[in-house]
Amino acid sequence: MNKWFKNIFIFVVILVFISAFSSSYSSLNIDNLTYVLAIGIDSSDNNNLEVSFHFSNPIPAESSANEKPNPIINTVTASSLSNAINLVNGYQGRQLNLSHCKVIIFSEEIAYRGISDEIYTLINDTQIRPSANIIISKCNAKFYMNQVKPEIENILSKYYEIFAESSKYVGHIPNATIGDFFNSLNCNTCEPYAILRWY
Amino acid sequence: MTKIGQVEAIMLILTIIVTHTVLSMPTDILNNYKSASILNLIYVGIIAIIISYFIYKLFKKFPSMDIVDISEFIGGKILKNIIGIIFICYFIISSSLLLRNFCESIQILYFPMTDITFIIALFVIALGIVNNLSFSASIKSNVIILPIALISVVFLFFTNIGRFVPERIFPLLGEGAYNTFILGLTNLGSFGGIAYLYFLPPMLKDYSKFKKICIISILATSLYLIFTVATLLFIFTFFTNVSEISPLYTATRYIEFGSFFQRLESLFLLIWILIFACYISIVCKFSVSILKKLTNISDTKPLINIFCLLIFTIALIPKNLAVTQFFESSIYKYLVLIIVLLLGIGILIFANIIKYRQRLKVNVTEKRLNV
Repeated sequence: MNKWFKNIFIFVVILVFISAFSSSYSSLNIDNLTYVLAIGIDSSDNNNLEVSFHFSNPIPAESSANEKPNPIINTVTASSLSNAINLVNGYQGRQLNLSHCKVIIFSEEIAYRGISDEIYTLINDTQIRPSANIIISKCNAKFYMNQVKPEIENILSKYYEIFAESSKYVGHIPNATIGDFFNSLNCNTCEPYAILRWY
Repeated sequence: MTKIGQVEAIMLILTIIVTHTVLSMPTDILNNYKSASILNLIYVGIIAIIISYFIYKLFKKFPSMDIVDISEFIGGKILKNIIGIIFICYFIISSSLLLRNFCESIQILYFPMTDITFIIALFVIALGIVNNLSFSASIKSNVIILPIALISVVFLFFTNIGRFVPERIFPLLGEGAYNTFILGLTNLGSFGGIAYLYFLPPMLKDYSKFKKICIISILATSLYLIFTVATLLFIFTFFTNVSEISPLYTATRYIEFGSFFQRLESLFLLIWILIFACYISIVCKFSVSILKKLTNISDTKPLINIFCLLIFTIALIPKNLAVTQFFESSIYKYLVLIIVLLLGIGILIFANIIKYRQRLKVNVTEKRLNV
């Protein structure tokens, strides 16, 4: 009887834990997430931000290797980056995930205004990796994202990941990551730097 | 009682510091002492080694007795009960809140939709299972897991070496000599492992190794602390206003070997989860053995479940992460200073004075008899 009771108790405990952890499992399930490859931040009216999210667009299995998917870019206007993320999460079916975000683009205008608030928000986000590159775009950030169409790279996420790698063999482009940028921002003797690009 | 060897005892003391460094301790050190953190740790480490040697000297006249037995020697059963209860409260409260802090980090990172109760409950169930086995089971698993945790920190140091900016050690005295050396003495609170030295003597297979255990364990603790703080100091500027998640976890996110080996932080977190389970099982075992001494209970198994529930309940008391972090950064250090260093050493000194007086009296009576 005692053994029966023990087994039933263990079974019930396992069931309770499965149900408790299933909600986290489903919220982090790949089917319920949409991955952001790049974030573009432009200035807007009334001190607001115009935040654009560049989503991954998986190539369907039946499409040919040379077929390039059109970029999916969603833009929202919000008072802060966190609000922008919440807004997009509000109307999109899938939850935004920034763990594969490779590039954060700021327009030159907003960079002149100061981007420390946005950098603090991003660095405190556990999904953003410190290796994500920071770009200051001479043009509009959204326009920049629309123009990114690499000719010899089909997968856009890979292009975003490797384009700054050229800093290892070319002196024209630095490998400016958000981790280094944030460190320099907090350091009294350093100057933060970013990649300058335009189209 | 299960007896433990020299290596097991040293590992046991080191486990305490490893669990604390996984959370906010290195950040607090860096925020308080800035670029002088390493210098402060060397200074405090030397003092801690001297203290541990002093503790060994004070224990010399009471071989195979722990601090509870010594309190009984000084003030009878009343003092024994008071000291025992103080140490049980210290062990249980500090470990419960540390567990809560760690579980909050795990929840933020991996289980955002799961109630914190279930995450804590998983640790408490593991604690209950391990403690229902013999003490040697938790000690042996600790001996296996702790070296992995230590290697992981060394790995973290060397893999991030490319990002190091050694100039961050300057100015050497940080915010001044007064801050580093006088106010810096409060950093002795980082050496919470000293508390377990008070209960080790009766547990040792060979008491003659106690001196080695005291010195090596505190030396290893200082070296480990220097290693972790150096890693963070050289990689990051300072941790002010940055993510409240474990600073070592933040450092692991920088590890990358090309595009193939990335995101190794999950592996580190797995190691830390294991070491945390070892830590709370050790704390629970020590608390149970103290209560056993106070109450003279022969069977401690029912007590284990009570302690598991106690840890679980105390871990649920704080409202949020901020409360547990406040305890970790502002209260824990002073608890160590007051309970572990002042109270513990005070009792040992007092016991030695009484012992000395007793010996003097014996010598006087012997002389009188001889005359």
